[in-house]
Amino acid sequence: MPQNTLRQILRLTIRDYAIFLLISAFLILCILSILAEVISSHDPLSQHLEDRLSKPDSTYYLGTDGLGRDIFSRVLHGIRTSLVIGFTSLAISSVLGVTIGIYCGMNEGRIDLIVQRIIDVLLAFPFFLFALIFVVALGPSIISLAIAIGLGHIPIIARLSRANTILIKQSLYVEAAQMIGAEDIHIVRVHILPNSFIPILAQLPSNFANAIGTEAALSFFGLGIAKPIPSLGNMMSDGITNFIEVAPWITFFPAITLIVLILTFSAIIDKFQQHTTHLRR
Amino acid sequence: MLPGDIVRSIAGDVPLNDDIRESLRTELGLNRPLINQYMDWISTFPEGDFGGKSLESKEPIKDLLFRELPVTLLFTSYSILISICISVPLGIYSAISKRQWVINLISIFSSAGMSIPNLCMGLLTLIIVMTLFNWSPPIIYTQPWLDPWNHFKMVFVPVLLVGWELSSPLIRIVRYSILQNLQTTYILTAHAKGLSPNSILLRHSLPNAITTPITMLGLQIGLLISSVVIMETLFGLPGIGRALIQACLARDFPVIQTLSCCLILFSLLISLSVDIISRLIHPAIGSDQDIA
Repeated sequence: MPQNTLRQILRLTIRDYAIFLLISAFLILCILSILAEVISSHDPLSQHLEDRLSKPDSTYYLGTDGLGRDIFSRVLHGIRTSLVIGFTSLAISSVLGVTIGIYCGMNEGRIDLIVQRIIDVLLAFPFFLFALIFVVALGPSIISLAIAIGLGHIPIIARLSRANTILIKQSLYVEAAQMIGAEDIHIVRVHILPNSFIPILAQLPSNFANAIGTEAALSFFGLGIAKPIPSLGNMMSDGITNFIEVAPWITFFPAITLIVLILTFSAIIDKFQQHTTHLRR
Repeated sequence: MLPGDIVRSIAGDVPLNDDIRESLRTELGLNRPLINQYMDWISTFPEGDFGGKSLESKEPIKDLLFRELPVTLLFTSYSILISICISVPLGIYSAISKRQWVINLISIFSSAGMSIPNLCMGLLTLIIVMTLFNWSPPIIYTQPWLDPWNHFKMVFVPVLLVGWELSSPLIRIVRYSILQNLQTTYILTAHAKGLSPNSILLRHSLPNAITTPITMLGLQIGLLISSVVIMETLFGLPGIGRALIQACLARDFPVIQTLSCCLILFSLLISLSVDIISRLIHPAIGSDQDIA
């Protein structure tokens, strides 16, 4: 019964204190990012030039940068950008990757062979180059970053999903269903699709970490989110070029935030995976 | 193939009227069909031209390539070497060690390397080094045979960071491989024969366990090239990665095309060599008697 298992998972999760802290940290960061406008003490774009480069104190919780903008508010908006890009790219890559994988797995014919070779070629590509070229082509914006990173993660997901489809297709209950006269689309809908997302669960934190890291790197180099709009990469680039010795907090806080985002998300997925291992099929 | 009008990017802020824009397009050959443009670009490779001239600095791309390829090659080789030197001993030690805290420490080291993004690693290291030790890496690059100490100072921080990042999954794979291997029957026989544990480890289990990590290294080449591009730009090493980023910022399309092509060929070459090396080390790979 789905309700019982969800309750079971939650109960087991909450008992494990360290992971519970990490999961709550992630959820708090998510909620903070959604409520970024409400919670931030200052407008992320407004400059308070008389207070520029001030240390973290009671008015400016994490200090100010070279133009006097409050770092705390900028970090909150930056978290929002990173999470949006991370989740959107996860969604794009999962949906498209699983679709391609299921299609290739169900019809193991010529198209399957061609797609497999293309995936082999794409997997040998360095991911950062792929995202870089896409972003240069599409222009810097949140949408183009999300699309570029999402498309870049499709090959891995497609390969995992295809292997999973073939595995399920060969099982006894699918064979029984086929004997009764079930069509392919029915098998996909009822047997394969509900089982497709758990096998790719192990790949998701790695993809999420890669997505957020790539977005930060591209914004850092000036090829991602454009300057006044806060992004964790932008802020690090401001901090490192001019103010590294005078005001290290400009670079430090975005970097720490990025690491915390990745670690907490990985913790959530790890825990989820642990508790759903016995629930597969 | 890339959208984003090249002519507008070349012109910059200067207002163009239609005549000038048309003549620029004809000069760059953008009027011609896509396949012609592609054939033009590819045909410069056998002639040694490698894509013609950079749009921004009018420098032949060939010179750019030959100046910067050695830097990237050196950097990449150092990183691979360091990652092997870090991962193999740490992996073996965490497989055979009796002390739990050492195993935990190595495992934290490896998890940290895998989850911290390249950029944050580099930036946090720069912050720590500059604020706590008041040291900054040299700006001017020198070849290793001209001024080894300067070269070393410039290169050792990014090499250690990329090595850490590469070695993190490798440590786990080495540990797993060695543990698998130590439970096989021929190791038991070696123990029964009275061989010392060290010699069993080094001469019997290590050569057999090393094949999976080497395959894993081959799979990580994408990560290697990405890290190399980011670290080169961050630490100012004048290599292909940094030139690529600068070309992207300037929308210098010939340079972008040639350099990306170069990096991708490079990564394929490394994958190929890793495959060849693993087959040399363990001739049974790919045949029916594959032990691993």
